[in-house]
Amino acid sequence: MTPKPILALAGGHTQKAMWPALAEHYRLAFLDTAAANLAGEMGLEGIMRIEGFLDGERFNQAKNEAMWASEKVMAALKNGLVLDHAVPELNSKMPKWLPLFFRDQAEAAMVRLAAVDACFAKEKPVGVLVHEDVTSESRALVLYAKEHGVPTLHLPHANHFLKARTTDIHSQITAEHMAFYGEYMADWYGVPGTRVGAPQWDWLYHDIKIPTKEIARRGMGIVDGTKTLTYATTWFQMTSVFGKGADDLEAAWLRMLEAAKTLKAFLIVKMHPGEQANQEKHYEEGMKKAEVHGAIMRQNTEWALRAADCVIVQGPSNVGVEAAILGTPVVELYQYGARYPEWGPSGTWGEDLVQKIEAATPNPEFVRRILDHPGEATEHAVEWVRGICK
Amino acid sequence: MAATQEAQDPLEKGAAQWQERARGLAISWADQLDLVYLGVPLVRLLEYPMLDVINRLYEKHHDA
Repeated sequence: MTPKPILALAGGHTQKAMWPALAEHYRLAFLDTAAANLAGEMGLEGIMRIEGFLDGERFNQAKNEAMWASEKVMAALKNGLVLDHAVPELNSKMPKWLPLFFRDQAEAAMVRLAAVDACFAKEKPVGVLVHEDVTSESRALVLYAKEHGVPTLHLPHANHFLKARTTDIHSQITAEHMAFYGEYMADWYGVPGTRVGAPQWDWLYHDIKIPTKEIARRGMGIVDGTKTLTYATTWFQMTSVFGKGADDLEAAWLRMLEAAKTLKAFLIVKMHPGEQANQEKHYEEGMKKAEVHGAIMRQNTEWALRAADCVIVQGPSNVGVEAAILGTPVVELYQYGARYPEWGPSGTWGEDLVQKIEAATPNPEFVRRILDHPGEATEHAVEWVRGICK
Repeated sequence: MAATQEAQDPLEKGAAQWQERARGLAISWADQLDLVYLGVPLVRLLEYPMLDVINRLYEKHHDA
């Protein structure tokens, strides 16, 4: 019997739904070790960790090469390397941060590349699948694979509700083959690709796995008849700079508290996974001070979305799409630099948030234009991979 | 600016004046260095964290 071919994956959790079906056709090699462990715990056979291919010799070789690359950067600094001719103050500070930054980042990247090199040399994968195209990890896989003639595939882990054709780093495309959730994402990237849907949202269509509104509310101790709002928070990333960053988010949070208090609502704060741990305390203190009752949670998003009469998203979040799939009305609290399309949920800077919440209705059109193959995306996405990686 | 006006043309509002410049610098800073390992240009791997660092530096500089 011919062994299954190898498919290399970055390991993003948004593609987890695809892993069992992919494992029927491929042995899966994960760059992210935690993802490999999770796939193993899911009972999938033939799971490999790409870092497991790295032996001591290759590891040391990569570290040595990283040291030489760092030396090159140090020499350039001594010879007057300039970041920006227009801002001399920044150039003079470069020796204080660049050497350590470069050494740490380059060493990690080069060790990772060495592991990919070892894996590819031994197993000869038939393709690479990534969920994003910006981090050092995904790019190591994609760029190495392209250099060696291995097909590279990208199914994005989220919609980016930024200006279409933006120069934001998230709009960059490195992989050769793109797949999209639907109309919006295909238009946003503006390149050829295959519309497969979003595998990570398939389960939202399988009602047996989702609590009813009544059960979600009971489970969270919400008294019958209490207006319930879910606030989906976000975090400030420095890959784009708009407005006043964290200060804008804090101002919006205060608006949210004010609206929840006015409506005498139970407020569920659904934190973004990227937020720091101490933010929980911050939200708790804010709610106590504003005398707003509720709960703060990071996981089990479906409970927060099902229990709510309305979901308020801080900026145009993909959580808003999930809420819309479940039929829960959504309101966008604006932030600078990003926005749902005009056919998406209604939004506000906050001064009329109460009125927006009370007027919000389910928006099936939003879901229709975001998502193809609702509930069946996994099948389509796996078919797309199999059509390319043979 | 009134909130309603901002809402009509929101996407480019509030963008930091150095943003486009920072995006370019996150790649171009190492133009002369030829940093390649196993056929992969390292500067492409470091672009994301470099962009974060450069934006922080510019923000600090402009706030000072």
